[in-house]
Amino acid sequence: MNLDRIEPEHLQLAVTGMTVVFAALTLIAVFIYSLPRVLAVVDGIFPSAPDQLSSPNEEQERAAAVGFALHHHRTQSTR
Amino acid sequence: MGNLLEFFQTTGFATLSFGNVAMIVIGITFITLAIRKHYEPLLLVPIGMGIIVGNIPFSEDMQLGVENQGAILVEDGKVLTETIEDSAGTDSWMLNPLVSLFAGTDDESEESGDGASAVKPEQVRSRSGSVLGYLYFGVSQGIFPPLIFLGIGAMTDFSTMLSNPRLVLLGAAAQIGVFLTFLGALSLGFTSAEAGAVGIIGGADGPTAIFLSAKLAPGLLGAIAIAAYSYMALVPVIQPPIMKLLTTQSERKIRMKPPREVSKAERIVFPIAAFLICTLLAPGALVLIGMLFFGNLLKECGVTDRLAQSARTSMIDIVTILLGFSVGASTAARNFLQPESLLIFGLGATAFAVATAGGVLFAKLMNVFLKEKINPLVGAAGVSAVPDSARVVEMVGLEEDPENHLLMHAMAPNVAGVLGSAVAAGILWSALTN
Repeated sequence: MNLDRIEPEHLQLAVTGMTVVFAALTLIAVFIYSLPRVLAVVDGIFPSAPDQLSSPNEEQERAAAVGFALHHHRTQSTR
Repeated sequence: MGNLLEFFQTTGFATLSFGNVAMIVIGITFITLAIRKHYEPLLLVPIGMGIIVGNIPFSEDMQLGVENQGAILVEDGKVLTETIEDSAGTDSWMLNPLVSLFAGTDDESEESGDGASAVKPEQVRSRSGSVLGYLYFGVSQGIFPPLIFLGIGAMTDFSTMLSNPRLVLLGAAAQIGVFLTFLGALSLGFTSAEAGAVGIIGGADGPTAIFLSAKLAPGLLGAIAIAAYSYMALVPVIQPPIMKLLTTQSERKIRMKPPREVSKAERIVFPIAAFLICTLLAPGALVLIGMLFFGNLLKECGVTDRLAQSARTSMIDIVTILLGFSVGASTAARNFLQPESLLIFGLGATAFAVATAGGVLFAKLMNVFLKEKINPLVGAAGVSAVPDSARVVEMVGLEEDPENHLLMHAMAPNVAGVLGSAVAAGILWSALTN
């Protein structure tokens, strides 16, 4: 091991590299902190449309009806 | 009888060297570790089998190895790619022949009188490469690692990181292993480019290590890839002693608040914004980070489920098989059993240990300033190696307090470590290729 092989520009690269990695991840952390507030402001200006996926479709309604019927049948037969 | 003896001379039994036997034993050890100990089986089985395949000796005329990637020749048998590399000033072997052929029919080039213009299309012949050579092309040209990153992105849930952004910094702190190992490799006589490729082992990210080695030190790619994947498999062995050494019992018992729920909008905006932040700061990370966040966007946007499903299952599996097998096959004893490989393994272990220590110590430093303390064990997950290092954190935490589950908290620095190592690779690549 010969430390003389490490030249000033190598040290400079190591320090700069570490600094850039920290800068990138710190900026990401700051962005994540502010993201909910930014989204709240955006949501205030452009209210999101009602979620289409949350309304049950025909297949889900049918499954719910079948489930209710089964449940009703079982609870009645055990009485 | 003479014919039989002649045939015997061409068999592997006659030409098998001690190095080949040693490498075949290493390959079998990898497969055994994967099957018996469940150490990274998805990686170690393809790599182990690849090592065995790559160490079967064969006659040079048979052109079966990974180094036989095919070539374009001119009539006198000279490899055209080498001729053109000098004149066209590009290092892409695939483009060079095309550049040359076009240059040969281009009036302007002929006038310039360079070497490329002397080649006529009818003089050119191609020499086909081996199957292993074509498979290895994806490794040597850095194609497979970004595709694996696409799959990783499609299976990564950044919610834990989004719910506790301060843990992101632990992923940055662990990259100290990369840059200290870079300096260590320089002091041991590696060139700057080779040292950069060796240092990235500290990022504990196999695809990133392969990507950077292919760019900076193709000659060391086999050793670096094997070292990186071996240490990733050995995370449960390497990390716990360091974690216990650097923390007190009371620190290991610190309980953290459960992560908050993250909205869908946050999860969709994050990959785009984080990509812009990372790549504007370190453009060298463009390919790896771009594919990672593209995969994550496919997962989170909710309208490309089929694509996300393919990326995180079939595609990543196929690429992992091809990458693991061809990297293993590149470790022929004559190239792999060199003093440099031993140094790389030593430096890799140091890199892993330093990275783990960096994450844990930075978590302790953060605790000096934070009201809500973080369990310093989660700092160890800053060394990428998703999700193994997070599992190790959970395991070590449970040893102290069986009801203290740290897995979800550890996933935050774990995925931040993936970003950190990709950014570090981008920085080293852009700095050391110039």
